[in-house]
Amino acid sequence: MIRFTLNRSEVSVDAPEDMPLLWALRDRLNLTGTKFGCGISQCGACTVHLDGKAIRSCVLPLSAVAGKNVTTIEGLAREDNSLHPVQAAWLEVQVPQCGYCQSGMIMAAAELLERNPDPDDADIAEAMTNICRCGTYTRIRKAITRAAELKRGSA
Amino acid sequence: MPRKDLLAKVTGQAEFGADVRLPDQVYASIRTSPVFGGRLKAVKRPAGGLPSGVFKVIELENGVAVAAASVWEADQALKALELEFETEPNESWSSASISATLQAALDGESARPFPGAKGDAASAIDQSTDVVTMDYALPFLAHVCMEPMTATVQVTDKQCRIWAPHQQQGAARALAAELTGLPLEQVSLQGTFCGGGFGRKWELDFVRQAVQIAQQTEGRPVTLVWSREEDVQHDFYRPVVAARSRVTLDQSGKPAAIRTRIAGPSVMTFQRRPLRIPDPILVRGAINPLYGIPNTLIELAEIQTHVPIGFWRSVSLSHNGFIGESVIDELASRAGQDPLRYRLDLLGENARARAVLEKAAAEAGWGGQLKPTEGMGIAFSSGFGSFNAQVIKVSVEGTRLNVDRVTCVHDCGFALDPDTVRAQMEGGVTDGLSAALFSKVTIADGRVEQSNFHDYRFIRLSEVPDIDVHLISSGEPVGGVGEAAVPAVAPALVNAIYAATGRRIRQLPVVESGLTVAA
Repeated sequence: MIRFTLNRSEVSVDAPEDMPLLWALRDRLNLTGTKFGCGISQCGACTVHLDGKAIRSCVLPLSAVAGKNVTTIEGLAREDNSLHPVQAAWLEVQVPQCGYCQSGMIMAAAELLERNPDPDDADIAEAMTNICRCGTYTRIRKAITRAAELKRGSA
Repeated sequence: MPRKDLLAKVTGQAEFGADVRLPDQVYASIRTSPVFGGRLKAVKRPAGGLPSGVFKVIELENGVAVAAASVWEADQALKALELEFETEPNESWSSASISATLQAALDGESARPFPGAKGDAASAIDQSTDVVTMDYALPFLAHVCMEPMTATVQVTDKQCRIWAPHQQQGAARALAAELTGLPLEQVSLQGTFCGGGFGRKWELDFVRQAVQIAQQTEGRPVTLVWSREEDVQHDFYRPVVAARSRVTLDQSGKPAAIRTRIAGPSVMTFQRRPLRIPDPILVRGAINPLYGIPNTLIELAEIQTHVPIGFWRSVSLSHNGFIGESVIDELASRAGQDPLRYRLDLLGENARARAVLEKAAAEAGWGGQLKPTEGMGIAFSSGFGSFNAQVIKVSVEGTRLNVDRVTCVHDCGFALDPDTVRAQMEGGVTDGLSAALFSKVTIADGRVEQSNFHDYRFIRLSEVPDIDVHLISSGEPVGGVGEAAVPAVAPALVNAIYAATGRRIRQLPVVESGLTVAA
């Protein structure tokens, strides 16, 4: 039994210690917002936050999260249920197409803005290595810049 | 107008194929013969037993599925099994043998003309002593939808319930009825959000598998999720194509006759729906019929390989856009004429075609001052009831290629929701760029050599230029937007590289020519 904090609540999961966090989230805890795309840390569809840092949950064994804080797309909104500035900017810019990669993109972008409240295009390019097969990249760039503005405005 | 699906998609609430959750559900992973057409011969279980969480090992004709408590546990169990396949005779195929077959088809006597020829290109070229010949080649492409193939199925005595992201839901239901022997009314299919389809989720293979697995899970619903490796290696690929264009020119340097032969495997033949005419999925648009060229002939030299093939975004124009618009650019260069002017002259009075080209050129600053390392390329395409023109600007320093900017002008008659049309243009351009720059599926020992995103690359944010989209509302009947941005990308790109370097790339992907793409 592995215990950790998931989206501000304590959880315990009965699963093999080497099961990647992704599959514990999806198939044990039924939190399906985090997606499987490659299984080898290439595409970033499975990005979640571990103690505030963006990680790829498809290669992180469950044992590595014991006692730690995990935030998924379902827990990104604020406690009053209002959208995170990245989610709000994503809606404003109308970023998603099929939407499958977007949870991972949003989690990666949210962490970037924690580290760097005013990223330029080069910072965004360096941080955003996830794959979007629909080609929403140009809107992602725009939405991150917009989210940075929203975040500063609301801070 | 704001899209209604986006709130669910930014909060993780949108239900995709593998997100369906049901009582007593199990999850399945699958391995099929790595060599296409192979058959399962033997399954050896590990001496120490299977890992935890396994519900059932299910043998299929061409592979093995494991149903388990999670997708990962199913996959771990599959890894523990030793699978043996009968792979004769297809294991002798390779990219080299396919290339040789294509080359023989280009050189050979056997080819069939596609309807719609103009004049008599064959005689004009046979009688000319001054024929320009250009050969092109394009690889098999995979679809790599972000969401790998998936379907959830529950089969009981009385009903078959399917939840799936599928592009052909009626056919999927009919297949399930056939497999289960249930009347069609007792087979239901609930569509889920689709994590990318691109023509791949038109195919029925993964639904067939999920139904066959669910027939052996004792009434429990089962969610099949393919690994990315299974997805890359068991696609229905964009056909591999080789082409030869032979051209004679008139006094002014314009084409008097173009004869283009396409060699490749036919999707319709593969689907056992052969046509009396050469497969349009291979040949349509190899010479754009809007160009005022007095003698044109497109012909097909069909080959057969063992590789499954299917529909890829923009279908025939995914390769013929590149071939046709490379030819026109090469001829403009040979005539010493501006590639934009050359196209406009060939298009004559066609107002919609002229308008997209002129707008793309104006917005991109065509004809303006460029640095010696920079170049601009232009391309035009028409299809799906729409007109599209693109200008791509590149910089090439040594072997380092930077795609600086794409200007894309689209006339789909009337854009009901302009922002969605723009999104499709941005996506189509990105898709086209990724394929033109990086993508290639190769075959060795009868199987696909690539397996995941590390060796089947898809373009990333750092490699994507600004994409400047302009829409023209001509008021004509509404045309396509989903596929129509793809065809002009590859030719505009290689035409830009030519403008920058004098080097003509006739084989895709571009990175195979020794250029590296700057991030």
